[in-house]
Amino acid sequence: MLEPFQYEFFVRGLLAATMAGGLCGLIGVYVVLRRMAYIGHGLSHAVFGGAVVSYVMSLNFFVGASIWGFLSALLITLTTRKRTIGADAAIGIITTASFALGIALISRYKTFTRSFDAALFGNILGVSTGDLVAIAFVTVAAIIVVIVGYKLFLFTAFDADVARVYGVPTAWVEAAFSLILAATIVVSMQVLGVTLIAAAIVIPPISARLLTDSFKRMILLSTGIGAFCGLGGIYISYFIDVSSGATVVLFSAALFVLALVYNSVKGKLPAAKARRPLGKASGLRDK
Amino acid sequence: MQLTGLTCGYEGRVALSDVTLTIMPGDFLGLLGPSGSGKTTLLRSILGVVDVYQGQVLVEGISPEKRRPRAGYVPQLETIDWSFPVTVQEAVMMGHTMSNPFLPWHRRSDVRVAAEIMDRLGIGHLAQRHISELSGGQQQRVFLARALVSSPRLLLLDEPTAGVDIKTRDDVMHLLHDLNHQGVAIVMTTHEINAVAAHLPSVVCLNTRVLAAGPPEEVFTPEILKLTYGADMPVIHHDGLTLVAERPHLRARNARRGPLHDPDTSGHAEDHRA
Repeated sequence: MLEPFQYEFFVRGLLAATMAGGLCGLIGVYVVLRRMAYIGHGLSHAVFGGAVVSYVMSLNFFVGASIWGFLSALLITLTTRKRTIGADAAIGIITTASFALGIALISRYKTFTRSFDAALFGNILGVSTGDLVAIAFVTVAAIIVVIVGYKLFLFTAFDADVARVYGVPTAWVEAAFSLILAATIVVSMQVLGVTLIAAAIVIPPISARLLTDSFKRMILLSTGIGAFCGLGGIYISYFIDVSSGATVVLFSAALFVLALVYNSVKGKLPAAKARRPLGKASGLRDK
Repeated sequence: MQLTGLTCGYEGRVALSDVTLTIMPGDFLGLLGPSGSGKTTLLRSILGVVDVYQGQVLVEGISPEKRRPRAGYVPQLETIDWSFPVTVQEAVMMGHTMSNPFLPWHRRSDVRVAAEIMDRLGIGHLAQRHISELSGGQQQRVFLARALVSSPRLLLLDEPTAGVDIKTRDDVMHLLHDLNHQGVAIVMTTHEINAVAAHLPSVVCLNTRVLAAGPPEEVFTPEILKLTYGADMPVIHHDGLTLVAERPHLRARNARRGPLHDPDTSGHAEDHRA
């Protein structure tokens, strides 16, 4: 049981996955509640393009890819404000073009193709001390931002339009969120891989939502579930010899099924209840 | 509060033209008009969150873009995400967000004020319930409480009686009248001419511009209603009440059949004033 802990690479990978899982769970709450799951998915692909460009231009990977991801997020926001272009179409264009740019550069400079396998699918063996420091840094920064901006994020996530009316600087809140989301994706890439990050961002908060009706508890639960999935997934991946990202996501999916079963057994489906027709929700019944 | 020659809208598209309106402290005003007539835009112009192309809005002599007015805003219930994980207390406390924005907790005094308002509105005992578990009237009170926690002098409500049953509608209107008697100026939009607007001290008919403003008995004339809604709507005065017959489809159908089938052959307002 304790055999893998004698390997330094495993301990490093385990720490990285636990932090990355918790980080994705924390940020994922806002992604899910703002119904932006497709942005998480798209941004992870956009960041891949940024990572390749940083490599080609000999820039620092974390800085280059984060800036690329942040700019992609801003570009998506700006494009969706044009009412003639839907959000899904804007994301499809920007993030897929960015991903395609990454692939094009890789096929042009075939020499470093192998280096990006880990970025696509996640590889615990590739987690360096530098990666670990970067994940720790972004995790601490994200926790501070979420604590300091808790009320602002809550109101903006609940109803950005009305939050603006109440004086909340929603444009700044959204920009800060985009930056943290981009940084989260960049530092989680090595462990989870761009193709699987979206699941790590979405599954823990959805599972947490099935277990609570409170925003505060959802944040704590989602972070905890994400961290547990990172830890459990990497631990299992050692024994079954499957890529780390895939194992973490499959482990998360299994926990989601458990949360769903628990929720059904308790007969308490907050999300389903809340999505009842408006007439029932807002006035045609009295208690 | 003064709107002078105001032309405003969103992203270059004009939603309201040349609006001139004055709202005094203690006023209770209803905004009427078909969908897309600019009712919500007018509310939002007072809050400084629309693009102003011409004219100006002044609240206590200052543009709302420069200083956010002490106003509470209650959005339409249908815009609320009922699946969002917030309790009643968390939703109400959102009204205090900007009083102390960079601390994750609220001041004790803010929590106390919110608790008092929730008790006053009869939802204090529901503080820990999820917002979707409430009745329509209780849900409306949650967002009214959120608007009231910052002690506003002006309350702006977007269709507060839409989609609720008769009892809930009466409860909400009584509550608003009580708040108005306590000195809060109220501006609300509504589609309900007889049940809501006819009982307000003053109304404004809108259709991308102001068509008429004043007490309902003066504003509700077939001519103004035709301009507002584009349909014939006879007005009946009976026993001090002003009632508008909302039956444009019936009249159109009868008109096609011929005059013998139309019970009101005059085509004008009937006057049964006592």
